[in-house]
Amino acid sequence: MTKEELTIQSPENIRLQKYRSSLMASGGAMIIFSLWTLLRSFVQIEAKLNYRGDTEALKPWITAILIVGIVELVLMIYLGISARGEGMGRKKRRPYLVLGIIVAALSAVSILYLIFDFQVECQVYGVIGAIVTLAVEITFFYAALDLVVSAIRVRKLEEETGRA
Amino acid sequence: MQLDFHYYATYCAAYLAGYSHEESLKVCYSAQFPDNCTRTFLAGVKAPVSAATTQTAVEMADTDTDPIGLQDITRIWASFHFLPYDLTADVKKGGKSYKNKYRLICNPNGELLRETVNQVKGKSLEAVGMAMHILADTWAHRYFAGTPSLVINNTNSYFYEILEQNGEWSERPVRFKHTPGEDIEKCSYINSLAYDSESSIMNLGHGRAGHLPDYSFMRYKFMPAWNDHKFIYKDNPEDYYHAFCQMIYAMTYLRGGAGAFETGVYATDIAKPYEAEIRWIIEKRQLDACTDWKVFGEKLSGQEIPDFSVDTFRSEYESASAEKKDDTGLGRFILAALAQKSMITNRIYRSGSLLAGYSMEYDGTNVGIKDYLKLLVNRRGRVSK
Repeated sequence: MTKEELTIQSPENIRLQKYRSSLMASGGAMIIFSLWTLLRSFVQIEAKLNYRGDTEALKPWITAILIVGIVELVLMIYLGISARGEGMGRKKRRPYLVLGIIVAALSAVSILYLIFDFQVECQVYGVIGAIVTLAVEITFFYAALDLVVSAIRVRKLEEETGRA
Repeated sequence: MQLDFHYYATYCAAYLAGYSHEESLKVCYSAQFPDNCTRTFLAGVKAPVSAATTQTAVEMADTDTDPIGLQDITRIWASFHFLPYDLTADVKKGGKSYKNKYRLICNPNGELLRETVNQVKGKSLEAVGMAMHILADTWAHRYFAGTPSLVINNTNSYFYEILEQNGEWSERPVRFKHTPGEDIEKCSYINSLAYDSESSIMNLGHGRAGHLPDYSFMRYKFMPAWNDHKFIYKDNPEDYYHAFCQMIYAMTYLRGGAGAFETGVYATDIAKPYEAEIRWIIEKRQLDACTDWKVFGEKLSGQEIPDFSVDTFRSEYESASAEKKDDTGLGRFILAALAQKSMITNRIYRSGSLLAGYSMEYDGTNVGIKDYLKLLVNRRGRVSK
């Protein structure tokens, strides 16, 4: 390599660094939100139990919620670690982008569901609980969308600058 | 920078600027002393502790990071080790707090450097040495600020050493750690702990980049948060050579040069006959270049350069009577240090920032807060004489 190649930064490289930095930040957000998803599962179970009170009838539902929560936790940690790894310039893990798109799409659906079903949510979780859930879900959607957009742009710029 | 440059290289620069061997020793001793003049040292010799030009790790750990403590830290580190480049710099984003910190970023050839050198014109050799420390550090410590700030001084995983071997250039990531022992070959260096508090003492100056900026052979690139995703390439060999030539120019001026000290001027003509040897020392991959600089200095003057010892100032100061203390080497250094701290505090305060504390003007001279009582008494004493 020449000295210029190592010490002079092209505008494309500046943009690449920007999106890499963004990818690292949104990857970090995914890891933090993974804990939120597990916490949300427990809150859902507790709220449902308080609302209905019939433990036996809710057992299959509780099991399903817990399994979904744990699977979501694992997948999001994988998503976050992969995104951070690519942001740091480490080896790419392609499948995570597909997962990111699915997560962002599900999050969008979840937001719509929370909006249309807001009154019922308020009855089950209380007004503050419903608002907090909606706010966190919107933040999560933003982070997931940012992750997807950043990952696509990083790959595109890497191809353009011949780093892929 | 370290002892090798502040002491031995400054001796060489002073000698090349025309000072005698004995004068050069006084200058280089005072050029190193800002790294040793702690409150603990000053209290030990019963000197005014407000003249401290550095802090030990224990002193820093003992300082509260409340506004008063942060002002104290900033007064010391911005005045003597991270001279702000542009206190009027325009920042298009962020609030006032961010702007004030951004303006403290150190860089060579700023207006404050011009004031620093011109201020010691006609003053003692100790004042000259202190100014040379500040000048040299503007090159080594550029892009970092002398105030604790995560947003300005933090480093991230984007930190690479740039290597040149037989005309081939390459880069490799720098591995930072917190345990003793640095390894040039493995590119393993010590830095301060990552701490996500904006005003943590861990985020002071180049702490998060470890000692890297202080090694003359080091070429590296890194990406501070304030630089909009653009990396900064730091070429220490080139910067250190500029520092050396600028010191020669500054001291030539201070010895009796006409006009005023101008920034961006380098005495490359004086250094030219020795350029190859100087560059060889600067580029040699070693953690301590004292031996090489010492050999070069002794070859220049034909005289022996004694090892640096803080006791030189201590014994003279302690043995002097109360009235004569200001006439000792340490006494003169203290007055120069107080004047510098006072001037920098005043300039930062006048820029609309309270990061270094309040400053007031008295009798047309810049006076800081109570720290500078000693300076005030000295100035009034001189006026009355």
